[in-house]
Amino acid sequence: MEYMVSGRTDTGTLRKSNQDAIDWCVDERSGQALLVVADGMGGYEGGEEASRIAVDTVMEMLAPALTEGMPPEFRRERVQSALDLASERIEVRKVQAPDLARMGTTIVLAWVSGNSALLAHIGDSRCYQLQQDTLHCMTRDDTVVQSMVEDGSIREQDAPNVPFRNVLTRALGAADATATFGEVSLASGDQLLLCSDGLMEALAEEEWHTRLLQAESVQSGVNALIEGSLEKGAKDNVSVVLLSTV
Amino acid sequence: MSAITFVFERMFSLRLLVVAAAVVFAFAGDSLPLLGYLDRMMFSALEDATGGAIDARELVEPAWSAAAIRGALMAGAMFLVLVVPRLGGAAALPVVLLLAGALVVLQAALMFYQKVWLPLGEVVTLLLAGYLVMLFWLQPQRTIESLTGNVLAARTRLSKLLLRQGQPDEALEVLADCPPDDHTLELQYDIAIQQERKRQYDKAGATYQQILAARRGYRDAAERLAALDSIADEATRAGGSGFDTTRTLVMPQQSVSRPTLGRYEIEREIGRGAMGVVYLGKDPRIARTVAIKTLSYQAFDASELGDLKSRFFREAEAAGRLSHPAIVTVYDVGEEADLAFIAMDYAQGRPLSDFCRPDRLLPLSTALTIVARVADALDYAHGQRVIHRDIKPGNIIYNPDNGELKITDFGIAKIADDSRTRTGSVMGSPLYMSPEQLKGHKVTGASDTYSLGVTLYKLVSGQTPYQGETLAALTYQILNKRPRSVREFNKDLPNGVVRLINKAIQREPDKRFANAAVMAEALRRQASRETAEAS
Repeated sequence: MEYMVSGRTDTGTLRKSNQDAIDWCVDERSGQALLVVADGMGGYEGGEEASRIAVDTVMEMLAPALTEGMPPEFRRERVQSALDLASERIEVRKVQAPDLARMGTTIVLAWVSGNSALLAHIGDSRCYQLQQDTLHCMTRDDTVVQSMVEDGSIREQDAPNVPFRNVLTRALGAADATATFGEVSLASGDQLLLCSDGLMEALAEEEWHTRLLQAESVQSGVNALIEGSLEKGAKDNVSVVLLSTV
Repeated sequence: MSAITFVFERMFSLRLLVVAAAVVFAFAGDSLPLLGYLDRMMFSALEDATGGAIDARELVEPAWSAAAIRGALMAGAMFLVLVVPRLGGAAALPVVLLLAGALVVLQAALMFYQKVWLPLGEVVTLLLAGYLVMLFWLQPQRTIESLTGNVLAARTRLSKLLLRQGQPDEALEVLADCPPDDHTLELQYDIAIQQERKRQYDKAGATYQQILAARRGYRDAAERLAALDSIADEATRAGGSGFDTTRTLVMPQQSVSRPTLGRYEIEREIGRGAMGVVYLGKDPRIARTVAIKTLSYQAFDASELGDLKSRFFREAEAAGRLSHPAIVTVYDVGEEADLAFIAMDYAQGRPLSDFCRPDRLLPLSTALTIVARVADALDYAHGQRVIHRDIKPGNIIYNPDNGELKITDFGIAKIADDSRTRTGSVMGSPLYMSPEQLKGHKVTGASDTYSLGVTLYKLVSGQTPYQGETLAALTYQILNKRPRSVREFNKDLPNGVVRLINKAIQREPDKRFANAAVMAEALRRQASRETAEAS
């Protein structure tokens, strides 16, 4: 199976800095791809730095594993150790620079190999699968609000008014860096979309769908989503990494 | 280049014409027959007067004559160009006439007694003609000078006004074209001090530099500049690019002016609240001590700030309308470049959170009375359509010495929490928050009653009805579980108090006390029962 990957991150219309970070790599020989999106927090500088550290560490640790052709059963462990290292590096920076003490980041990554993908995430950046004409969210947000909706404490429509709506239950740079893992099987023509919450906030999911279906290439698909968010006045940073299978 | 423009701009002036005339007279005077007219007239006049006693052939023209005439011409030109403007047209007239007369007399005397021929006529001509020319120059010059004076005076006044209105940058800008005289320097100095107070240390430093460039050693500008530089060093060492909620205002050393917020002089930091740093300040006009709570903008994104500010000012104004002995009076709200602030009565005493440790609880009747008084104040506020939103022991200041009680932070405490994006762990706890508030439903007076119920729970037991390791766990419990009975923590609690607390912290707002006044009434009944039993 061949992969086409593209990605883009934008500061949005209101913020001064982009605290999101993205990256991806494709190894054609082994038929594998790695996609990452991180959304930093904790002040301008902190947010930028935390997401950058997370993405860089993940790429540094996992990109070589793509070429090595690591057996699937070891991949989770490898991903978790990369995240542990990223978490450790963020902690070190926090100690060095007291101004960054509140920094942290979400992360979502997809390790695509053959017709399946290993997903790992911490926080509320998401991974979606676009299959023919249905869009599925493959990750569960690590947020207080999500827990409240799930345990029936609140109705979904109340979520935007909840006082703690912005609080993550887990983040890279907080105490516990254990990721939630998932597996996705991919059929030819499927698309895998990684994004930060800026996309969800700015553009309704129904719109992604039509925009992606109209796109002629992965790149134009990514652009369609980002431009669409900006047209809607995206307040937050918006990031998208899109993988298309052929 | 600037020298050329300087010369060029001043070349086409009537004053130059006078100087040029003097030069022409000096070096080409002989070829201008008109210039000899006065001398010829003088000669014939003297001849007539003496009845031909003077013979032209007897007169000697000394060797120094030409040099003397030239010197006199130059001196005359200098007099016209430099002295006449100082004297003014009218005052210069007698001087010019006197000089011209003296020269004529001198020439006659030399001729008559010394037999020396010194043709001073050229000099007299220059003086008289030059004076006329200078009159033409003086007239517009006076207008220009008076206009310039007016403009400078107006600029100085405007600058003072701007400074008084707290706009030092604009005040400085207005002064930009004024020559650095005493007035200007003094004003610039005042501006620099105000910039210092507003903690715009970079700008203040630039202003001091400007002053020092104009006059070295002006007052203590140099020392102040040095002090500012050391503050800047400190800030860089701290590694901060700006202030955040956890950072205090830099409290500068003696040689730098005390910072101000609005008209309040900051004395010291007294604490850190939900929004940001709290300062003890003083209103210099009426010597009133105030507590100033600040909301630092640095912690927020530009996208949230507009909304946040308008909410802050709306809530602060609503709180400002409240006037109740048990509610902290809000005097003022204001804004600086990097923060908003609210100035309120400085309540002496300790927050009730100081009396919440299980081994350090207040006597039951005291706790009940305090909570009853808080309920009264809440009822008053609810009547004014103001909801506190964050009733908890930390927001109630109690003075054990005189029994005074003050509720602080009406409406404003929750603002920062709600707006901040994903601060993760740094966030107010929902321990005292009502279920409807947690769900994001409309907050009413009943929510305050609930929070007050939890406060009472804490005051009589040292515990809260719900406990959870994480925010998610705690939220789940508050929304879905039965509270632990307060009796579990305090076995001696009378049934009445337990019932009262249970009613106040009902999950359904309708099942709680009908309003805060009803709760106050129940609390007081219980308190008097307590006192009766105790005695």
